[in-house]
Amino acid sequence: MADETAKSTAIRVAKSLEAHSLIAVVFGGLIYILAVTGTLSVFNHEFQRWEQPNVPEMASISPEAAQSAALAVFESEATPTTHLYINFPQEDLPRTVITTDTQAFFAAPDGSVAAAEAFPWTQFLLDLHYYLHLPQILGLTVVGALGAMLIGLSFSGLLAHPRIFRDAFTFRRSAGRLTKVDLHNRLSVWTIPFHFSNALTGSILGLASVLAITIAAVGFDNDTAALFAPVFGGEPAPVEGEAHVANIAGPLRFMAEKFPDLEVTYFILHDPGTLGQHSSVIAEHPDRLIFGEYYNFTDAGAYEGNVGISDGTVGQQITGAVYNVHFGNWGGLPVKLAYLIFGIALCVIIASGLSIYFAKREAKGRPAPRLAATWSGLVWGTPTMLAVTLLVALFGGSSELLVGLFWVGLAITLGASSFYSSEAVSRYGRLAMAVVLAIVLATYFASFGLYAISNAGLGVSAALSALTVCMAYAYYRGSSHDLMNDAPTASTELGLEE
Amino acid sequence: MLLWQIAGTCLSIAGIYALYLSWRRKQRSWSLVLAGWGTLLAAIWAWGKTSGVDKGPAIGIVVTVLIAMVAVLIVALRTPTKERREPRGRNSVVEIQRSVWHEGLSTTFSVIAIVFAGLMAAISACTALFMGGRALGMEHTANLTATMIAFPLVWAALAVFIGYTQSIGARAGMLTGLMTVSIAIIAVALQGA
Repeated sequence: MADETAKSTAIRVAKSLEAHSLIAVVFGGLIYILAVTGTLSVFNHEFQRWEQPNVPEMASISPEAAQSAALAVFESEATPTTHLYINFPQEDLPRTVITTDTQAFFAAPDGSVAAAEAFPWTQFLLDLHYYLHLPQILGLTVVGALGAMLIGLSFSGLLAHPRIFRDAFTFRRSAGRLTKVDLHNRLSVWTIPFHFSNALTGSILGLASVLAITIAAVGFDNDTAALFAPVFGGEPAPVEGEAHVANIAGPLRFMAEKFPDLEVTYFILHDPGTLGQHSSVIAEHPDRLIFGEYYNFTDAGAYEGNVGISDGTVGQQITGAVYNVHFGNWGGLPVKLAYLIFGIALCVIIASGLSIYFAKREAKGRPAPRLAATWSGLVWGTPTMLAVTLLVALFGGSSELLVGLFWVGLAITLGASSFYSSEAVSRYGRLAMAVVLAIVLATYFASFGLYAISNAGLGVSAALSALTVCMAYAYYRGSSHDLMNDAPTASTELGLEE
Repeated sequence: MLLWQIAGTCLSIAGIYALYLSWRRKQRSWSLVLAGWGTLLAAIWAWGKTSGVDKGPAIGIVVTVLIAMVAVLIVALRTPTKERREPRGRNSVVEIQRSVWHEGLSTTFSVIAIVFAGLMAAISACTALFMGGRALGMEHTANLTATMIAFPLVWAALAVFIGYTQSIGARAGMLTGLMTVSIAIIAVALQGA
């Protein structure tokens, strides 16, 4: 009886591992790219500041100054914009930005318009994470699908791990591949609240469009806006005819007086300069996970009420929290740093998981050294190519150039990696990353001088410097203690515990 | 608030430590396991007092995960390294032998099944879930949110099922069965609308 139970468990584990391996091998590469870019995207505000350290910064701006800058940008538009946005200073992005359909400018504290906003690398990074640089709906859906597959990896990993709680603290140090297996399993189990919630929220964000299209086709006469209107509020139909631009300072003053505890992050003027114009203020609720609440105003500045994301239905409140839970921007720098640690853990889980897979193949007498080396190429090539694009962006490279450079460069890296051993790829990948990052830092300091050590530049510069040192140290330390990519020679406890 | 933060942190540490003590014992101690998880729940509750209804517990989970990672790191550093035996040639997993061709073909079919059939089945099921909820008078935003959450979970579960089962018949049965039931629910919901 005991033998039968053990055999049944072994078969279940084997089948679960098959499912785990199948999903990981097919989708692991793209999931890894999303994990790396997602980890970096948590700091997208910091990267924006770093890319443009020499623009006006402020803790707050007066409603009148914000209105003055917004009107100046609006009047400079060749074709009327359908929306006029003001991004207000936040703790991690202390800048005021006026955005229209086609352009964006910084505002100075006195209400004058300063430089144009330009953060090509951060935008490139976000586009890579949101869409994998594919057309928007398709890209969102593919990224969402990869999120679903990451959930599948969590499911199958848990099924394949019958001693999940009994081994909760097992970690065999300096034991080669056993250490790698322990690293994979321990990180996977203990960080599951992070990577499961992140995969779920990411896939909700990505797959919402495709599901909404289907539901709208079946039950809402193809009107997807009608499906989401009860959650986020509907947009009234535009009304033709010109009018004076609506009062901007009024709603902002109202928010400061009526809701002093809230942090106003955005002002949106819909259809500015038309008879149908109206405005919304988005304000963060500091004690909530929601991204914010919409407070709506008429063109005359009369308050019409809030949408209900903060105090409406449970569905509204949960939906309103999805974005922040995914991107970790709900608790200031401490939570961002926690997301950084969890994000790096996810990257290690994915990288070590495929490494274990290749060890397993070898143990079964079906080694795939080229594939293993190619995987190492992806693991180290992805961050290295991100660093290369960062360097090119500092030299003024356009977004299109960065996109082409990243994908072509990564493809070449993968192709070239297959001609070397996994250890060599891993080792020289670190060296390449250290060298490129050092050049990035030198270029940055040469370009921006003292701004590089200003509040806007220092944080990211220091982090990149630390990463450069770590990569250089890892290179000199050699591959003998490699946790992520040392090519296995035989398999032991692959995916199971000893 | 500071007191609740301190209490939450202490409870998180205590909960993880209780689970560690349970892990260290040769025989499973249910009292320690329950004490560990119970204390962790109390930690999340305490963190819930530090902020809003959703943000407080979220911070508690983040803190608890970080403490657990530190605990594993401490255990790793305290574990003496020792000479390991030569790796075994085989492991205890029951292996499923296949030819390279069969494996390649099987993988291709599996990927097609996951990406296309799995997607279709998940969309059908979740559309049926939404339409069924709507027909039963469920509040719109709750219905939509539940459906949005269910979609990736259903697709992920189907992907695991497809990878888990070797039988094409079982896969086809599951996917077509799910789609058929979903279409039936949608049809009934539309009739009632």
